[in-house]
Amino acid sequence: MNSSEVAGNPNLLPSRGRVTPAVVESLRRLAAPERVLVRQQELLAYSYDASFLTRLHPSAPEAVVQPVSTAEVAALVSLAAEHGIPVVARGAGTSQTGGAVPVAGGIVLDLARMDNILELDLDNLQVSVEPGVIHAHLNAALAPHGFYFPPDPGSSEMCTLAGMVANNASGMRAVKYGATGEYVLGLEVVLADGTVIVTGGANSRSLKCVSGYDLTRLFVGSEGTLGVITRLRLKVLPLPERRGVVMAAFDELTLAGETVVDIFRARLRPAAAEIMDRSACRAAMLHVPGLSLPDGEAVLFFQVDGAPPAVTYEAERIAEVCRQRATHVEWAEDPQRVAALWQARSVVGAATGRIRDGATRVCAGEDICVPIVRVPEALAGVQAIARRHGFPIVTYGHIGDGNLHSAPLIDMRDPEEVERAHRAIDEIHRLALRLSGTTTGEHGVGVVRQEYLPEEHGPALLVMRRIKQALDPAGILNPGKMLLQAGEEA
Amino acid sequence: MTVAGRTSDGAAGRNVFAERTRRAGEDFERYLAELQKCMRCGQCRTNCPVFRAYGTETDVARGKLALLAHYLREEERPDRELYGRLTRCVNCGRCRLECPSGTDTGYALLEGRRRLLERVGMPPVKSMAVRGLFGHYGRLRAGARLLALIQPLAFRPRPADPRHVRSIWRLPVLGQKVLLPRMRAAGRRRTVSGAGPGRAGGHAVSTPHRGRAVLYPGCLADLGYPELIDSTVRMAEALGYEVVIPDGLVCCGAPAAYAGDNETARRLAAANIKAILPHLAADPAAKLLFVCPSCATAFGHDYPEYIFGKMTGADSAAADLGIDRGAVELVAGRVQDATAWAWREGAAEHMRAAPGAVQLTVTYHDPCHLRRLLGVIAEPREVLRHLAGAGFRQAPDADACCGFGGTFAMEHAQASASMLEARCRQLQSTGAEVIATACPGCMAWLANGLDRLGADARPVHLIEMMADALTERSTSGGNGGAVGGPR
Repeated sequence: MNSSEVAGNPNLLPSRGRVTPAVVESLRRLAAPERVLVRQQELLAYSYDASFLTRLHPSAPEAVVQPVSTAEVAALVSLAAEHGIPVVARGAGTSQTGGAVPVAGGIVLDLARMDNILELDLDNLQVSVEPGVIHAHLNAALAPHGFYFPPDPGSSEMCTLAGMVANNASGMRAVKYGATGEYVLGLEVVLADGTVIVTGGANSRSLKCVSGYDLTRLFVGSEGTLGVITRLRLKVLPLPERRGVVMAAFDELTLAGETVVDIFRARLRPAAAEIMDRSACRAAMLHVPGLSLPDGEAVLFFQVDGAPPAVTYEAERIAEVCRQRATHVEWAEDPQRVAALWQARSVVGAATGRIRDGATRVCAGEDICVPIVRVPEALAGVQAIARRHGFPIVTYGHIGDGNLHSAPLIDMRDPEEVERAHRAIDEIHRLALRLSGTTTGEHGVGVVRQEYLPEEHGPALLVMRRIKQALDPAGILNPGKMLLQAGEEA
Repeated sequence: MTVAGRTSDGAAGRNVFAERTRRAGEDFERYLAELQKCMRCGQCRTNCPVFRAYGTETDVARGKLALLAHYLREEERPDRELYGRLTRCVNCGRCRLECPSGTDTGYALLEGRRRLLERVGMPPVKSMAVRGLFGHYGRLRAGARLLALIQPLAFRPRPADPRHVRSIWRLPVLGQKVLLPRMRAAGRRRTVSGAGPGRAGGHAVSTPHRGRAVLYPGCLADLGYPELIDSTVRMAEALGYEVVIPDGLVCCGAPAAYAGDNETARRLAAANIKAILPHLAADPAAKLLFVCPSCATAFGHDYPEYIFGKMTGADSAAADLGIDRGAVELVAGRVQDATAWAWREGAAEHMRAAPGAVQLTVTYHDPCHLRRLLGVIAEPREVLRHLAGAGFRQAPDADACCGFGGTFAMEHAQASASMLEARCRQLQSTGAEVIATACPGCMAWLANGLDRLGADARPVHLIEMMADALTERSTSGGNGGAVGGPR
């Protein structure tokens, strides 16, 4: 088999070691042989994530190991360190950045089998879990006790908790509850030399800790470049008793943006504040034939949660603020009506791909985040980019924190269109920077956004590199990401 | 710049979705369009039962589609190993239904297997089963007769469930003792139901003549569970229908289609359509009934969509076999699951047994193809609620597959066994004495799973329960009465 086309690029880590047959033998001694994958076809299945980049250009590891314990992970990383072999931690491979893809080859640690919920210590508002626990599984386990883990990524049903921590993922509720990082109390991490540390206090069950550097936050969002997370101590909250929804339609994008600003000024705190532009509304209506949305340039969706009287009050107040500018406002707190009002928002992710026959939604330029007041400009800017390049870009997102998900619909069979898509994606990222935003609000950098880091961070990038150098001097942990290797320039 | 995939040195610069140099053509374009739809989001990891059993990305639809995309490259030489990986799929249809990007994984994986098969050929043992046996119904019937002869030597009846027999030894492939239907005079064919309207199974029926139904028995019921055919006839007659079982029916073609052998599948499908068409064409009201939802799915979905559709280029594809698109669609349009059909035909009003007469705790196992491809979800539950009243208990995880999947159970015995065990434990957790289902394949496989767990519960086809309630044979036990004994 000709594998050179998809094997990781060894030039990304010049002095790296290879996974030789002797190394494979060692891997099989450290983990059970059936959990060491080296067949070419098996490796190909670990050569991609959800990013446009790795769909087009997969990059395969030399070996995949599926560890089941911290001890195994530590032993595997030690072995890799000894030979200078890259190690890439992978959860469910739902990243949209190439983050979980071994672009420099080496060993992929598929952590999905470490999926035990170790302890629910609900009196102390915390749980302890293994890295491969699926987000939705944790919340399913917590629900009967009346608790939940607030961050709510769209990929809840498949993404792993350690993957969320490694990318500091969030979701709609971030506007009120913040991102994953705010719920990480401590982490067990295997470092690049195989040592195991526990952050946030080795034996601590405290909910706060300012003893020493906040190493927990260092590993949050580090995308597997500083260590491999093997155990997580997470904070959980009591489930709100009730949820309500407000939907409002606007004739102009700017009116929707002004409304969100007014809602915060009115001292209201929605649990989610979502926007769908005209392209997204059209996609949702095409996807669900019976669904009708009010006509307009934008539709806003708000969620409120809490005690029943508070939910009623907040929903009414938000509706009142919306009415000043909206052409149409509805609100509900009855669960069935809530679901009906929320339907458009809940299907839009799946719906985007359906609006152009023969095309596919690509995850690229999909996570810009701008100041709230500039969301209307960002939406208009993305639509202008779409018009200029001649393919639809469906945009929706979390207007409450300025985070927008754009979905370009590309025919990948047309190489020329793929080229135009790359240009459009770059323009979307630069648009975000121009609007005083960032290229990524909750998905991460990985491979696909590293070229923007110098512009986003300036000299701070050099500090990131020094941290990387201190913790992983040989550069074996997830190389080729976040522009951390010395000598890499944009 | 060192960003992978965008380097200009060509190391990772090729876009496989733009590969069409020597293979352009309508069917290839269609295949390419479907392959590119998968956005690699990983949603299919959520519920794929085979992925759950193996835990490796090659076993989930996303991984298989990525492998197929890789092998679009002209210079890649696919092999039997790849074919084996692509058949690690129970064809439960879950990934297709739940795919956010709308990828028709059913088509893409079947078409992928078909294209692959053209290059690597089917492994001999599989070919013997799929082509040698299922491809020639006469041989399958002869095999069933042979099995009926030798069965008493190597199998013993299972006391809790007398219509199944258990092997004396563990079977080499499965590593388990295996349960089979107790084979009887297999392969009987009645062209028109013997009794006719008004005399269902010897019982006087007052229902007026309402019409004619055509029944496709399917191999497992025809050869292993003939009582299902009898029950369907009894049931239809009690509702005022006479039943026709056409001559010349063969395997529905699903085993061949799932193996990627569309040629065999087309041949079988055409033979079935030709055998059935005159009966349906003559009577515009006549329905085509099935006791096996996988056969029904083949006729109602796979024939028009895949076998004579996307996989062969719609209109002209069947001309060489003497049928046209209209015939395929006419037959597909009449397909009915017999249970759901009977319920909608007002079975409840015609039942001689009083509501709640089945004095047993019963649960229901949804056959994958019935639930997801035919969309029959409510009717079986309504039947059981009617028959068993408070004795009907919903099983957890209605989407769970029993793990059978035809040849899947033999080829991937370990995964199939772990799926089966998990499902049987869920069904057992309801405390049910009877596990009702609506598929002979599920029924046979659940019998095995329950036996391995040492459970007393028996699987029963809903049609048997309905026929019994319509003709008041529910307490007689044995083959005549599916659900015997008081609670």
